[in-house]
Amino acid sequence: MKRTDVIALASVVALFVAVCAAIGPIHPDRSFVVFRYAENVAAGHGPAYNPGDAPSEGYGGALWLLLCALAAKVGLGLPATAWLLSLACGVAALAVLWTGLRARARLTASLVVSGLAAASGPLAVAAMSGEGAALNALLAVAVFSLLDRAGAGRARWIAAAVAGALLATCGNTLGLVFPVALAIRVCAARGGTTPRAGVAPASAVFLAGVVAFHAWRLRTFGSLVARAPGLEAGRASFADLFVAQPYDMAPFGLFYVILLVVACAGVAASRERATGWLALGAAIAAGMATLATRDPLPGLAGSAALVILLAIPVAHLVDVVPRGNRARALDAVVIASLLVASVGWAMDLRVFARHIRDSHDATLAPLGKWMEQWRSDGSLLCDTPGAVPYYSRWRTTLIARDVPLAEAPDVVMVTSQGQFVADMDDEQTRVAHALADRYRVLAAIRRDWTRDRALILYARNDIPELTDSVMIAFPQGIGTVVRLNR
Amino acid sequence: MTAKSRRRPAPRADARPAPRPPASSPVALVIAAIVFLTCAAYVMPFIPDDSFISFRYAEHLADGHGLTFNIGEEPVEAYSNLLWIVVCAALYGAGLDLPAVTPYAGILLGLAALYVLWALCRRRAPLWTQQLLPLLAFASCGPFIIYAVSGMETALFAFLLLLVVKCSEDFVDAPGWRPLAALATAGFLVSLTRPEGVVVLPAALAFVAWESRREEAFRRGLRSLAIAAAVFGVATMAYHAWRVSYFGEWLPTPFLSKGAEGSSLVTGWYKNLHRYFVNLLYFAPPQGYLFAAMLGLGIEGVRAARAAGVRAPGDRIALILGLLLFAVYVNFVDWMPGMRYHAPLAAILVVPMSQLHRLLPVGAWESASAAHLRRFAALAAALLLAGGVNLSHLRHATAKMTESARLCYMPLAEWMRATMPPGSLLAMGDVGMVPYYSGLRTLDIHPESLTDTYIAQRAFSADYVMTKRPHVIALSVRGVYSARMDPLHWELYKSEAFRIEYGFVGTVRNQWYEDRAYWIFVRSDLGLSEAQLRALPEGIGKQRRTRFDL
Repeated sequence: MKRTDVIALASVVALFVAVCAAIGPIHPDRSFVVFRYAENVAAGHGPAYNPGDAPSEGYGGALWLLLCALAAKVGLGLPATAWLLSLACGVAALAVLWTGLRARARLTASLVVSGLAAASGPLAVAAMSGEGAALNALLAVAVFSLLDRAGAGRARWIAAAVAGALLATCGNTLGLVFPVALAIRVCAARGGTTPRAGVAPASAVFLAGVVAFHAWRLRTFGSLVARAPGLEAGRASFADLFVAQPYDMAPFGLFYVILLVVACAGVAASRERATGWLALGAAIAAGMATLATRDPLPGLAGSAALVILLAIPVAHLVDVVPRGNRARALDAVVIASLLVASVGWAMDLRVFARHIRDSHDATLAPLGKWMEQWRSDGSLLCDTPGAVPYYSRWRTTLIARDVPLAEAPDVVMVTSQGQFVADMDDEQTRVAHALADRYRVLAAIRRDWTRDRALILYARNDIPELTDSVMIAFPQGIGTVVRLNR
Repeated sequence: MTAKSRRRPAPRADARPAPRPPASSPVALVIAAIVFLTCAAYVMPFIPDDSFISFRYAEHLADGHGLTFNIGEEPVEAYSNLLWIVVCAALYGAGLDLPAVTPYAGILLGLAALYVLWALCRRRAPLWTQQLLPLLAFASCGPFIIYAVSGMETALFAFLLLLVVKCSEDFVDAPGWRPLAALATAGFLVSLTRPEGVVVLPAALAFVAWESRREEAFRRGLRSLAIAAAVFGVATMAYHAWRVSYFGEWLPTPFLSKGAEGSSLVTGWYKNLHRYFVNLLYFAPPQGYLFAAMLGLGIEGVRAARAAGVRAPGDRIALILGLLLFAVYVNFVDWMPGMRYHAPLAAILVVPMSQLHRLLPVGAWESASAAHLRRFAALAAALLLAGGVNLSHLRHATAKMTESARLCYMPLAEWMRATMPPGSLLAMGDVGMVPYYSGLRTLDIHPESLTDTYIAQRAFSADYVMTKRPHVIALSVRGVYSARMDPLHWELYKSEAFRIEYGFVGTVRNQWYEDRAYWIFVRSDLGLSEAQLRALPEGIGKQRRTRFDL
């Protein structure tokens, strides 16, 4: 790698780290579900939400679970290690992107695209979330980069297939990325010929990997259809993209539309059209995976792979700009504008990332820790599957339509819009009514300013009144008011 | 290569002036106008609390009560937008409802600004494709759009600023009395629209003089500029003499009570930088990046024109005015979503940006190939969508303020109108919507009071408020159940006289964030019925306290 390339890549990574530092660790509640599974795997309980339960597939991506479990096994504290891992995946994704770009584009064009990806909010949010979205982005860009540069030898084809198979373990629909990209690579072959020597082994490796993974799933969970408590709730809707994201976050759909428009223009304008088609195809396949679930991360950051893949054709758009004596000024203008706009949008996402962090820091984590101190072996029925069960280490059942209410857990915790007025969804209301004669209100703690979203805790009637020393330690939550029934 | 030869060449004395615009087709203007109208419709309704202060002044002016906040009281200069108040008074005098009509007046002024901008753009860019991109950047600029429909003076100020830029350029290109008179008039109107506008015309005249120094007719031009400056000076002095004699104060109350936060300018700048680039509000995105990008592109536009040997003085005067006004605004707190004071800067920064097309060879613009058109369409779409991202985020933030108005301010005002005896005095820190719709005389008890000269000059005191004996007091509190309020208001709340004379009615929440709520107290001798007390609105959400809870 030339010295200028090293400096340019270091600048891109520095920009990315700066944006990540500005956003800060986010701690979405969903990430703690994976940590709980990972600690259970590390402790030898298998992929189960509660130790001793039948395995369930509520963790999202198997590869991310495996990495977190390995970290837990070697004694690394999970929330912090997962956060570092996702940050490292983000950095690695940028490095792979850079390598792939430099094979076909000028330094300036590569700098524009990498800078755009580095400063983009979704990738930074993904890297600071402790979730597997940054890993997905890394694998998706690896598939693209390896296939784009694959030639007569087999190594890159097979490496791409391995990356594609690993991506398939991160979510069912992400398994589409490699086959789609391979098909495009074959159809849009350069010079009209495709090195057949690579395609067949790559397909075989990918198929073997996917079949092995699903065979393991079938054996472990007894079904190929994921039963995922808490994680796979609902599909993304038009409103999520263009009106408002869940939990009162501004929409970010237009950002992806911009990328799509620019990517299409880049493909149309490119002299390296095959590369453009490859990136676009992989992006569309990854996008389908994204739309399959609702994304509670700001900026739909679960789609960080899309940002990188759609940015790639921009390099070709920059390349078709006529070169003249003002080209340097034009380059500077384009780079600066894109970077400033991207950082601006990343800082928009910071506003909403802060709300999630505040909720975790002030309510969910302290509440879970308080519960653990109160009773070390409690049981919980709740609709918030992440941080509270993780920190409390209580045996937890999640509220669902078919949840058995005959077994009475120690505490029932439901989300309400209001600390003092219980305004709940239908399912929570049903549970609250069903348990009304067996439970008393213990406390209510706010987790979000907007709509007064709060957690109302009910304790079973036969549990003795809590002592003053226990209740005085009850966390305050968001704001200054906590409701304690004494 | 020597340092001297590396230096960027100054524009040649014989540099070509920007060519007079041919009768180009208004395609770009029409497209940009449609985009602007669509964006405006998307963010409506958004009328923040401050707009209603202007409406109240305008209605009193039109009704013959002069520039007073409370009818029958001494005039007080609690506004900073005289010309807009006069415009509103004219609209009100014509029988129009101000909260309903001013957003549309703002849209019309925004379209007028767009027209002036188009006139400037077509001097710089003969092709409609070249004109379209800067016009789209303006037509989809979130901060400008939300304040164009806000019932505030933003669109008028932006329109007049663009007129100053255009008239300055007209005068440099063809010195004469007509463009000079237009420039002086526009400059004077700018100074009447916003107090900081007083720097605009002197800066424009100084620039024009500097720009024309090598012209043959410089001496003659200089004389006419000096006359224009003298006329402006006399008119400004006359206006201020009237102002001081009318209000009896040298400075408007906002200048007495507001300013940079913190004990020093540096502290204020630091806090403002945080607002620009990190966190504007708990729920509003920072806008510094947008303005920084526009400034950077504007500077590059000036450089591009200079490198092409094109003389376009409007670019530089727009840039200078932008920087000058920014140097003023950085000292003041601009906390509203989209930054209301900075919003008009978007209009003038687009002027130099319209030179950026020179970075591409002419052939790239003139090509009519399908590939070229596709690329252009993608660029225009990306620009438009980029504006859309920011606009959608700003709409998300302004929707919260609109929710406050709908669920808190208007019902509270309605309750006061129905409950309080005519002529009652309301004491409140936010003196926009509630005083306007309740129609009550109002004492502004904000520690940085806008409409009360005593508090603005001498600071808030509980004794002062108690001597006024307001019938109803609305204290702004962070909390429904816990009373976190301004220490000065706490002093009033804890005073014995207040406890004896006033009874707590209930809370009306106006924001989710921090449970911001008004705690309503009514003078005990009013003897409100239980039905009247129970009619107090809930505000936002379901958390509230009433006296019946106590």
